[in-house]
Amino acid sequence: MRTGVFVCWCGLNIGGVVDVPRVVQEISGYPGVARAVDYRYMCSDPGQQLIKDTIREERLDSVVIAACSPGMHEATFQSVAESAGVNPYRCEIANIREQCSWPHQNEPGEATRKAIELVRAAVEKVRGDEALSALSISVTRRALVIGAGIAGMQAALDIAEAGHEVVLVERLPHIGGHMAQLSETFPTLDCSQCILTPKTSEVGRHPRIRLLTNSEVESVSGYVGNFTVRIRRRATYVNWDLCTGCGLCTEKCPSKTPSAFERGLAKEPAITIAFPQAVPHKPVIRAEACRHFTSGRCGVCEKVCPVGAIDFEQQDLVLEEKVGAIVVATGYDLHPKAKVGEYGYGVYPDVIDGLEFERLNSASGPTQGEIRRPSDGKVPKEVVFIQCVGSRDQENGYPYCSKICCMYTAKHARLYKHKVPDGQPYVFYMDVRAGGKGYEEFVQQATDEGVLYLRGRVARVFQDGDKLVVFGVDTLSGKKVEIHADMVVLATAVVPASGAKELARALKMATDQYGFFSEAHPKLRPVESLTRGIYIAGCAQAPKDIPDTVTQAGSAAAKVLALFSAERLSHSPTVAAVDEELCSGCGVCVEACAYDARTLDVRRRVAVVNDVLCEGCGACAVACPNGATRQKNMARSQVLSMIDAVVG
Amino acid sequence: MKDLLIAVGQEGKEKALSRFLARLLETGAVDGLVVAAEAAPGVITHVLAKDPRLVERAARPLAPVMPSSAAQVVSEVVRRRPSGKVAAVLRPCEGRALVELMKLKQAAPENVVAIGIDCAGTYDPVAYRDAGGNADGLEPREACRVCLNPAPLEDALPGITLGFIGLDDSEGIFVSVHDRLDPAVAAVVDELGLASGEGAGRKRSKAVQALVQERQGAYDAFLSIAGISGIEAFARELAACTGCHNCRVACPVCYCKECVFDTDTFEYETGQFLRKAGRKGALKMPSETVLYHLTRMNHMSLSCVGCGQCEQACPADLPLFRLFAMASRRTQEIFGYVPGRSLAEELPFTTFREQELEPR
Repeated sequence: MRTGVFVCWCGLNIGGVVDVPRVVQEISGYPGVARAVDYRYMCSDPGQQLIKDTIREERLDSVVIAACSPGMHEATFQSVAESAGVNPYRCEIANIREQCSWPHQNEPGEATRKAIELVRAAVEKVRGDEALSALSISVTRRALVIGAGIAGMQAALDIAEAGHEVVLVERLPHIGGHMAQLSETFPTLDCSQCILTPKTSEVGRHPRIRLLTNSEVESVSGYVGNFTVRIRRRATYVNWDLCTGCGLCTEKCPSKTPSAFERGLAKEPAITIAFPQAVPHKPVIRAEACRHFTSGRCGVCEKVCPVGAIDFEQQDLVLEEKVGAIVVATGYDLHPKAKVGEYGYGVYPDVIDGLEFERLNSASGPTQGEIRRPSDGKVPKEVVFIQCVGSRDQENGYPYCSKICCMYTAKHARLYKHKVPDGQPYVFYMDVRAGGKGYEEFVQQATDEGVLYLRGRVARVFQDGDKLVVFGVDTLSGKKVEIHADMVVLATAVVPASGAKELARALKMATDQYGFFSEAHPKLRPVESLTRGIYIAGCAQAPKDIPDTVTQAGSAAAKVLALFSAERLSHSPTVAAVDEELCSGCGVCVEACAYDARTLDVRRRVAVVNDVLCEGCGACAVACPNGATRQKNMARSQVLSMIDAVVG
Repeated sequence: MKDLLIAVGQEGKEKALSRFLARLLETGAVDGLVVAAEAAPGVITHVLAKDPRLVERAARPLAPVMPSSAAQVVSEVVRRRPSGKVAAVLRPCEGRALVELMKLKQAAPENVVAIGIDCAGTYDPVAYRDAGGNADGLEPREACRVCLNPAPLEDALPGITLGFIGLDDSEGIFVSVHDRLDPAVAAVVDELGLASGEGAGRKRSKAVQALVQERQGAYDAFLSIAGISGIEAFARELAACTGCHNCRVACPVCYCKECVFDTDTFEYETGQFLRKAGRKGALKMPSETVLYHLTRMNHMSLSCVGCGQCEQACPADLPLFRLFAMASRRTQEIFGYVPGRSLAEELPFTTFREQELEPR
């Protein structure tokens, strides 16, 4: 064996603590080490050249780089080694920065000793490394987008426009997400439907988008480039192929039930199209509200339908789709009424949340866009808006900021003022966060238009006659405030969409403590998940507004397109392997695997490895009692030699 | 559960039991029977019996020695391409070890009819053989003297439990039939028209409880003997190890086709040996005996049923039962795990719960 050892100073990061020349000197005489050299910045071009030259001069067959974490530059040095003729999997990194010079800054002597031991261990490891070649995976150039709100639609359109097929799955019968419920949008106050409907209709008619509404993802198997997705298409009880969307059924339906789209502020028939611009413009029957299903004694829709599209016998359909990449765009919900537990929300009808206010303000909403309070339809003359309900609340809610509330509250207060010029809007706030193009100006405009901002928390809200009495405090004046309001609007916390946890489990994706999907890196990889081939867009990741959501959706689409640009993908060959002579078929490895990469061949009573699913974490190799499972280039004998080298 | 009673006549308990077992083969309810038999005076071995007459004549289900664990025997029979039904007479520790082996997929549960049997304790097989099969004056093995499971765990496997603790011959043998017992076997039991065993069952459970209570003291005293703490003391206890690996062969749950310590993993090069020797001036040979026992403990302490077979098999007489009892009591406590209690209970080794290692 001829190993070269390259010790990096990393400027003063390593060299300021570890005695680098001493490390070089100590390792030079170690068995198998043909040459040891140091350099100020090994990752720099001259540093890389030094490695290449030394490999050629010394005819090296393996290299050890003593430098920073392999997370930083392993790929760099592997490709340097390969370009000089050394197998990239016979290039090992000894991490003498994060695991040595940084934590042991105050003990340079000990740090130097440890650096020598780490390098020795790496030399021992590389001695046992096999020359491997990367595994190759085919790519299905077809994407799945989960959720058809503005994030999912944008991602789907971008991918489809670039020439790839997209399966777009939406849980609701229609697409558009929460944006379809909004009346106007900040900071320009343009009509939400007006800017949304061009997108929804484009999605609806796009030849490369397969739209599956009223559908949910049930399970996902496979791996990057090769996912198999099972999708449950729930029965709509209407044959959409026949239905013309004439709406006669919805007019004649005798059952009425609270509309989810209208946030319960209006009723809708049991067979319904949620809103006039809905895409697809086809009705669904909500079985739990339909007389035919609950009592078996109605069939009006069936009778009036001119094309015979009503199908009470329709069943759920389970579809299987093969895709190469997945974008998760499941959006958000508002902190549910039942959990708010303060300000009389869910108790007093005139205490509403932001989305309910959007519906009150919407031309197609329950009041045709007139601001009328839910209890008696009166135009409210004093409206109190309360920000940070459930957000930024360590005790009763969530510590995070929901990000959009400052802006939409300003918007609500302004829209109210525009429609009720003699009315008085009050806003209780903790502080106003208006970072964004045109945002601060927008909030400023609100105060100019007469919205009264009160810095402080509201202690409580209670009903007194037909008034809602709001007790609060204005911390700027230090005075207690009591407002006899006609309506109270709460900016409740943005939380992950219901079912996000179950979906995360099906996708084997990580979520944060609140249930938002975790990105691979908060700064450098904000749209990638920790699972290769799965990306995140919109509020599924964290609360964000429409511009940010659209940006992230485009970015997720770009990642998918980059993935689809290659014929095949490569996968690290340092995966688990089974010695079938030794395997007892106990299945401990199967349980240990977090990636579904291990299975039992029941007939032969041996465990097997699915190479491309294996992430090389080594959990199975550790669980295997007798070493029948081994980790390529991390054999037990290698580990024992490494320990020996450290112990001395 | 159904409680019944087998009457014991002049010929005694063991014959009555053997006749009952023979009946299972005779009717074809099972295809084979694993039971202890006497091969020569004082020499007891397990057999896989097919002939009911042989069972009636030579079976020794109550032989007071355990030359090997029946769990291993059953595993060997129903591991590869299992078919048919094999009944097996299992002492409590053997039944529990079998459950562990089933969890590790080393025996197919659907091919086994477990016949659990009360255990009065066992003797060293060599001493028993030397005494010509006469146990008078012999002392039970240490593992049996402090055993807290003299009766089978009836829920662990859907089979039959045969009990006699606290019952004299005139009171018969208590039979408990599991609700999910194989229907063919259940039919055989029904045909026998056995009397109800409720009274005997109550008497036996009381006697079992009393026996366990009595042994609890002995067990605590046994474990409280100080002196084994820390790696140095552990190494001293194991200093006489010859590296024969008999303990692993005898252990009913150790299931690897080939132990990692028999593979080339620990075949060091001369230079490695010399380096290791240089570290402390000398290296105990054969080497890695402490690592071997620690590894076995790491793999087996959670599933250790305390049968003491390891110690019985040790030519150097190492206190292996004691060491394993000390370790396994602690590890099993941490996970609230009782090996062999139920097939449905997952091995702590293969499951992860967030709070599993937090102090309780």
